[in-house]
Amino acid sequence: MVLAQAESEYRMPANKTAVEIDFLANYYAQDGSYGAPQGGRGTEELDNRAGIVVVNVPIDSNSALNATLGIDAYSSASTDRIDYQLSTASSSDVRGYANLGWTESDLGGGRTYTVRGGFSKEYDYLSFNASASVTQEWARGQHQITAGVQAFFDEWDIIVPAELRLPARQPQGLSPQRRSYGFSLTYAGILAPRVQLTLTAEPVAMSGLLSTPFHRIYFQGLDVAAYLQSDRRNFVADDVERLPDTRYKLPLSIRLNYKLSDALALRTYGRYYTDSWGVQGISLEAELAYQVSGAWTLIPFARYYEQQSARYYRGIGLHSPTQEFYTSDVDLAELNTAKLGLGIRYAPLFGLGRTKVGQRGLEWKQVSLRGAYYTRNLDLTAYSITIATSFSMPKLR
Amino acid sequence: MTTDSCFRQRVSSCSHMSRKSQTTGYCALLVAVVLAMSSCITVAPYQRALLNGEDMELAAAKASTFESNVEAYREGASGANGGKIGGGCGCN
Repeated sequence: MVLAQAESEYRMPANKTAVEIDFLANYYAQDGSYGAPQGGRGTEELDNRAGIVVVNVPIDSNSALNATLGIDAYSSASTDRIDYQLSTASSSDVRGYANLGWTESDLGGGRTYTVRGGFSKEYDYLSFNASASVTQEWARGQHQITAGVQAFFDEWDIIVPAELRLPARQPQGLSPQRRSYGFSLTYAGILAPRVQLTLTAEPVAMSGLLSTPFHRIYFQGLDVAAYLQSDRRNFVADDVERLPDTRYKLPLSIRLNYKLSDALALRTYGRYYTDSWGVQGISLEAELAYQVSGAWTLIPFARYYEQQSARYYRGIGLHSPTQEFYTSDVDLAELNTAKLGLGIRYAPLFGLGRTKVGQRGLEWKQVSLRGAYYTRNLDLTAYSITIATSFSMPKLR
Repeated sequence: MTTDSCFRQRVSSCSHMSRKSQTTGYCALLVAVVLAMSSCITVAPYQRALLNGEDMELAAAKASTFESNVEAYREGASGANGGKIGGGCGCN
């Protein structure tokens, strides 16, 4: 009777009153030699500078507003070769995106509702998205289930390789729209005082233009050696990448966190992926968070991924013109990748500094630096550096 | 020779199918074991202090957001990690 009373008296924690603001900035650079705009053998040199601001504003104990603003500024040697006039507008671009979300909680019933919408724009791609989810917890918050749906409504500005823009060579049958619909189901549970996990299934259905219009295709008969030794301008692509107008994906993941000691936490993640194009992939990740002192935490991490090829992938000069679908995009090839890195976080108990802004305080809570090295067995290396910092704006009494 | 190559094709296709079935079976078994375990142990709210820190959050670290985007662009797989599912970009 006492337990039943305790169960019925349990309420989800209410929202804290502080506004939370996160700033993240990233520099990413890669280089490789399997660029798809050049038929699957070309430069993959690219660098990207990105920034994100995430703001979470509690409206009251039940409701919160969440906003995300982001920008990516990238330069890409491979897209610069869509028309072989190097260092023109195709060599760089800026993508901007924003999302707005609303969360409403039923604290007594253990239920949370979230709706979100947003958009993303880059030079040849416009996207609108919407999502909704509901979370139900039970056993005094020990277990919870989240069911969600997502939809993306995208439109390409179709740009084909320069040599195919003549009326006689213009690729036919490219419709600019793409649609993606996802359903996700996640179980999150506390297995023991030091162990918790999530299990997630997120089936996705995509339709529309699922290929990339400026990825060149060269059929059998290409003198690949001569092509690779030339500056490529005299080789007219036989076609552009052609892929089915539907794709069904099923990723399944598990995330398991284990508090090994007061100072040490192990975070692990595994995912199995399969889709209707024949791609199957397994990824395994591990992070170890080691609290060196009260304020400093070191976080080494590693990731390994391997995949089987899509059935439509072949290397340059290996496709037959009688095939209905073909791609030489190495992202869909049989490959494996590995990532190693280290993160450092500085989060003193009372923050790095504080001041006052109107009726609220402004506390600088923490700063972290994260560096990662990424490599692919098919000649690609990359590195990524991220700096992240958090602020809190509590109400002043 | 024709018989042998046909036989090898059949064996390899059978092996491929059984590997797929095995993977599905292991996943289902893992889910069943975890759910069975979760129903046996009660962890009261006052016992969850060690689970509340940032390092025990059941989500990818915020600072890894950019890396997971790169992985979605450079690999054929995506989803089930709080990141991209395929829409919203000119990528896979």
